[in-house]
Amino acid sequence: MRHRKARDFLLLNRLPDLDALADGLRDFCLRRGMTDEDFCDVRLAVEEAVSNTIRHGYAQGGLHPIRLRAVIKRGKLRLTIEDDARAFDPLAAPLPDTSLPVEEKRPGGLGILLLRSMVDRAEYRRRGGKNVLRLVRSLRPVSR
Amino acid sequence: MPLKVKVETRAGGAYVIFHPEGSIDANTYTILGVEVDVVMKTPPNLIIFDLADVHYVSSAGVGVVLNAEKQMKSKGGKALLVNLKPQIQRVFDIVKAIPPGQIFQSVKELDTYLAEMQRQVREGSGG
Repeated sequence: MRHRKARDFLLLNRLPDLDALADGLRDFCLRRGMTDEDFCDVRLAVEEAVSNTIRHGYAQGGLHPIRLRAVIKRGKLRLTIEDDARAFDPLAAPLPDTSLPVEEKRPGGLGILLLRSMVDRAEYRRRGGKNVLRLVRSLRPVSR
Repeated sequence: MPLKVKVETRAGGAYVIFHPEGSIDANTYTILGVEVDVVMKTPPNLIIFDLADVHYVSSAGVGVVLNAEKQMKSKGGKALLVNLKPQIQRVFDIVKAIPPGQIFQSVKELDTYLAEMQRQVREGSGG
């Protein structure tokens, strides 16, 4: 049985919608050869990106769509996440200083750090009033 | 995915062990956070997060552990982690929320550490 190499997901800017997204994306990835352990990295990158958008991206409130397209191409998983939240480039945000003593550490910024660490490549652009984040991850990662 | 948390007290209340089961993510981290807050009202010497049944943790979950370590440290205690699956270990390696010396690969390693701590306490009290 041949599996389609692309799948589109649509969710709203509600944190509980992340569960259905994770389930669908897991199904897509595992059917195409990704291990469950490797999928955890993908899930983490997506959760950090999308939850950040949901929490901080909509000052006016209301329901907004977030689109994610997953494509398998040449042994790589390519994710494109698009939303109409306020402009924010997670790749330009400063990373937390993980060398600080624990009493000085803050939880803020850890999600961005994890997002960037879990993928092989990431690109951001603002296009037509939307944030477009592209993430690329090998189906079978190179040794880390 | 739902998160279940069992809380166990040992050594007459000196240690409290949290046994979360499932995924500690943006939707479930508050479940663990509430349990930690309850324990912190009367903080023990050590709290331990046994992550043997945790298959996923995001920054939200890390935040709960980090806040627990900060609270414990301010009271002269520590937060320890044990039984991390490889993908969970990688997350904590990246964020460095807990010092490496407070992360244990197995219950056996942890028990050795706890026995040594108890020995130091006994010797310190002259017992």
